[in-house]
Parts: sequence; structure tokens; C-alpha cells
Amino acid sequence: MKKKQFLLAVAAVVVGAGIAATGYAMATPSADFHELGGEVYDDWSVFRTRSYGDDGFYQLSDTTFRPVIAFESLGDEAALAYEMGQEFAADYADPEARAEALFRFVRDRVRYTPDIDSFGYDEFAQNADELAEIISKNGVGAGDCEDSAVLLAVMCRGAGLRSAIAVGNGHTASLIYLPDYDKTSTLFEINGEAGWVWAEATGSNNPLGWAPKEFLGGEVAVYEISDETAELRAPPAEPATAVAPQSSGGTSFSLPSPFLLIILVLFLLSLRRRRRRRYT
Amino acid sequence: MFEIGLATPYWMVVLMWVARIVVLVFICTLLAWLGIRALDALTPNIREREHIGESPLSTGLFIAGFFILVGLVIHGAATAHTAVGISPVSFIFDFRTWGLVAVSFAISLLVGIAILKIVDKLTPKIPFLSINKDPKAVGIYVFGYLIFFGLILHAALTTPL
Repeated sequence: MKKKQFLLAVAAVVVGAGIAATGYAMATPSADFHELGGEVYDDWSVFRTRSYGDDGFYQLSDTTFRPVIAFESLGDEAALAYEMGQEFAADYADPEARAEALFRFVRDRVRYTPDIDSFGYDEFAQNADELAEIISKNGVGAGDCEDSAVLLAVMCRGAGLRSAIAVGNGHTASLIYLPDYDKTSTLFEINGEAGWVWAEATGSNNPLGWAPKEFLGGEVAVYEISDETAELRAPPAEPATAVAPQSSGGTSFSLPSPFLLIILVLFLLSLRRRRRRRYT
Repeated sequence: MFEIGLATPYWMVVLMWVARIVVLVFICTLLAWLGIRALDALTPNIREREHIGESPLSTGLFIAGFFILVGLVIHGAATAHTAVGISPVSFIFDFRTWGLVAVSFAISLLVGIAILKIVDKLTPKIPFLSINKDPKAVGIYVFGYLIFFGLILHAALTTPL
């Protein structure tokens, strides 16, 4: 009987978790989309279901990239996301406080949800206005790293802050130019210009300025966001690069050797006592 | 090819998160167990492991301390700064965090013992060794340092490095 009750309780928890998980799959694109060969492209002829290629949403190749999807919400196309950024500019006079508020907004309002759950595709990027519209309607939206990065970069532009998008190791995030920001130990340089703060909005506990170790101690491809048009022009031959010169070294702890060394030292310490007790 | 973010369903992300926490709990419990043995070795006049089983209350305090330690580790692992979307293997087997936790733990352990010995010398009217007279007192002492270990591990897990 107890076994039965336990199994029922486990089943209830699993079903509850399943319902909660599927609750995240609520995002629906608002713009017109077209399908071609199992892939989806939008009115700007940008494919949303792949990042790579001349018409991919990041125009990613082996050597360079251009986050064209961000330009669907800037310049002449600026709409809700840009306006929301402008509202932050009106509310926060100090650029650092403004950047922190924008970062918190995107971090807390975009719940990390893989594209396969939201759209049924392994990859599906939302532009900043589509995600902003869902957030303004529901209070929260669902998206993964490119959705958060693009929304934050566009809103920063609306708020009068310089922003960039970084990409590497199958991940992407934003950078915000705050040269006097002293709440982080890691300021990035983009092509020699220091003062760029990493904005990792995918983890719900991350503060502005915290950067994943994968992006420390090496070069990361970045693209500064400006009011470009969303036309599919060729990306630059070489992307700009961001480096974190004052990082403590992203590879120093990449092997388990310090961990194993400490385990060994602690173990030897405890043996020392045992041996001493045995002979006294 | 060139996918950005995890091409896995949400439940897989949750499973990865749980796996990371479980792995960290085992790693931290191993460290805490070795820490207890090391503390025992470095404070030879306080025989924690010999006295702890002499009183049910001490044993209860030891178990309670371990629960709090494991709870602090789980809280630290669950609330640590994280980039969701990076490689699953490096997310679960995060050697950099393991190294950081181990180094922080060992240094804090040594500093804690040094401070204990200094305070013992500075307070001659409070004989620290008197706790040997009562297993319950040893139990409370052990309970305290298990929480001390837990707090160290929590801090190491949530450090922004």
C-alpha cells in the first residue's frame, strides 16, 4: 500500500513538472513567416531557423558574422523594443543604473526555454520586437540565448547605450559599453577599446558583468549594434574581437588537478593522525 | 551545425541542472568528509570522532550539521551564476568550479584552525579542551564546524570567479 502511495506521489510530481515545463512553450512569432524546405524565413528574407549562411539570422560563417536580426528592430524599423529602451532612459538618468535595470528586465522577463519547446524547431530566433510584444502582453516571454542577447542589445540602443553582440562556442550574449563600471572585475576590450561589460542574461541569478569562463582569457567575435538596415548585406571580412585582458585566466582551472591535489593533501593529513595514534 | 543555444528540450535542461547539483553535492560531501578527518588530525587534543558516538545527542547534532551542510551546497549549486546554453559536459563536470571549491575549502579550513588556536591562546580563562569532558559539547562543536564547512562551500560555489 505504501509502495503504491509512493508511486502515485512520484507520478503526480512528474506530471506536475511536465505541465510546468510545457507552460514555457507559449511564445508565438508575431510577424509574417514563410516556409521553404522545412525552414522558416521572415519578411526581411532572414531565415529564423538557422544562424549560419548569408541569410541566417546571425549571418554566421566560419570566419565572421553579422546579427542581422537585431537590425529588424532598429533605425527605420525601430518599434516596441526600442521604445521600451527609451522608457528606461527616461526613468534612469545614470547610464550604469539604466544598464543594470535593462539587464535585470531581460534576465528576469525572458525565461530560458529551448527553441524546440517554444517553436518545434531546434533553432528559432525571435527578433527584439516579437519578444518585447510577448513580454508586454504576458509579463514574461520565453527564449534562449540569442533571443535575450538581441532584445537586450536593441533595448540598450533605445536607452542611448552602446551595445554589441558576442558569439562563440555555440552561445551568444550582449556587451554594454560602460567604461566606468566598477562592479565587475572583468571589462572587455573590443578592438582595443576598453570598457565593455558582459551581459549574460540567460541565468536568473547572474549579475551584470559576470562572464562565463568559456569567454575569458581568449578572443570572442563581436559585432557592435548600430542603426543599420535589416537588408542582407555581406558581413565584414573579419569580425571585431572582444578580449578580457585582466581576467584571472580562463584555462587555469580547466583541469581537475587543483581539486585532486587538495583531496590528496586532505587525505594525507588525516592519515598522519591515524599513524601517529597507532604508534603511541 | 553552428547552432546557438541548446538544441535540447526544456526537461533536458532541467535534468542537466539536477545532474550538476548532484555531482557537486557528492564532490562537496567528499571534501567535507576529508575536512572532518583533517580537522581531527590538526586538533589532536580534541578527539571529535572518538567522542561523537558516545552520546545520541552528539550523533544527532552531527547528522543535523551534515544536513545543513548538504542544504547549503545544494543552495549554492542551484543559485550559482550560470550561462544556460553552454556545452552540457562542461556544465555538469565544471572542473574550474571544483578546483575553486577545493582551494577555498582547504584554505578556509587552515585559516579556521589557525584562528581557533589563536583564540584559544588569547582566552586562557576559557579552556577549549574542556569540551572533551562531555560528548554533547563535542557534538555541538562538530555541528558548528559542519555549518562552517557548509558556508565555505556555499561561498565558493556562488563566487563570481
